[in-house]
Amino acid sequence: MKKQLEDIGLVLSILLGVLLTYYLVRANIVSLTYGNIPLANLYLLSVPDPSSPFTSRSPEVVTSVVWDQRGYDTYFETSVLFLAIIGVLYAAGSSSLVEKGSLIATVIPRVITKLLFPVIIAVAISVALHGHLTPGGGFQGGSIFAVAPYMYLLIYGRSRLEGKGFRSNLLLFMRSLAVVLISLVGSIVLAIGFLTGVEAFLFQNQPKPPFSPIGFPAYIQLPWGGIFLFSGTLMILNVLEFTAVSTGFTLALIVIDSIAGGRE
Amino acid sequence: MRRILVVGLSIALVYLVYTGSLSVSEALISLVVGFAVASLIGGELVVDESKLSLKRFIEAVKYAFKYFTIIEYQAHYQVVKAILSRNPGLKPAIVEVPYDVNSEIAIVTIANSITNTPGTVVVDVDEEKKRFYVHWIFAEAFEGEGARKGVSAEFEEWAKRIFD
Repeated sequence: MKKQLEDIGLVLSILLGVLLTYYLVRANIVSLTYGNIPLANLYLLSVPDPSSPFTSRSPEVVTSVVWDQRGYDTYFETSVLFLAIIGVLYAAGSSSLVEKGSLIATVIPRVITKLLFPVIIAVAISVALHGHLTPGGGFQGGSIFAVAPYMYLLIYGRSRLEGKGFRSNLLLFMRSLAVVLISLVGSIVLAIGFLTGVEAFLFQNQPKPPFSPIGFPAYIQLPWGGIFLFSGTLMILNVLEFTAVSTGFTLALIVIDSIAGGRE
Repeated sequence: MRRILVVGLSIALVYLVYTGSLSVSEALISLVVGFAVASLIGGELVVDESKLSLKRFIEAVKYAFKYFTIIEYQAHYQVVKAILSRNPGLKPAIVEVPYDVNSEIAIVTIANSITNTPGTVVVDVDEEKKRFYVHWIFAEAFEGEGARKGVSAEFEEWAKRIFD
């Protein structure tokens, strides 16, 4: 009965979201396109146009940007994912490292795992927190973070990882919370604009003077002098993305391990 | 309590070195990160709190300095000479090296010191019999004190002084 109520609630909330979006767009309260934006026009006009020097000979602008205008970037994204999967398969597959059932791995991987665990987490948090200043960000930091619990899982088993607080339901809760907060941060400016009757956008960061006068603050003045630059939504969203990705990957790796028959 | 302090400050240092910045806000963030992670893993990292001391830390710094300069130089020199000479005099073998330390971290210190010098690699550990199995390209003895003297005697002395 409770399960059915949950299902009905889920369907209703999705339906409500779709209808609300439809209403907001049709009533011209929010618009999905905004006037004449030069960069968008450049891509939309030149990518499909065979006579343009920037053409990709394709009507699909997003794919063209991903594989043509920024193809080199995409190549390395793909490589990173490929290497990550190879690493996980290698670690999970080498059953000589982790024998099922009995106490396993020699003292060397046990101690090195304990030593690297905090180092990986410190680096992951640094990468996530400085996403608006240096290469990296929430996704990259979260992916690095997931290596620490995964190593711990392979060497010490699931129950000791759970003893550290990496429990499935907590991870799932944190992940869901982070995703909800991301959508909340993305709609705050739009909501304020809607209430005060000014123009604003979904996922708006800084004010856009000719279009929208409101936005997030970019920095705070520190009491001991200097400023703390967090670039509006960028750092907030990076931290939330970091939470979502790190807990999500950790949860996925725990589930894969339990299906593949790893140690308790 | 002391272990959380030491581990927390160490992790904060790792964070700061990786970040490469020394502003007040970064230092505060590094302390938060350091102590949060230390509360998660500090108890496992420092098994015996009474062994945390400045004297042992100074020994560790001295060992790191000697290891990465003199010991590494000597080991590299031996291997480079063998590579370049007409008659390298190799005698590769897997030898059994006994050790006499108790803490896990001391065992790993010795094992990594052996592996990190060219010419010797630890391939396995037997914790019950207290033996390393080491691949040694200039094997002088196959087991017992002879093997220990050629492979790990100095590392073991330092590891005892630092961790045991």
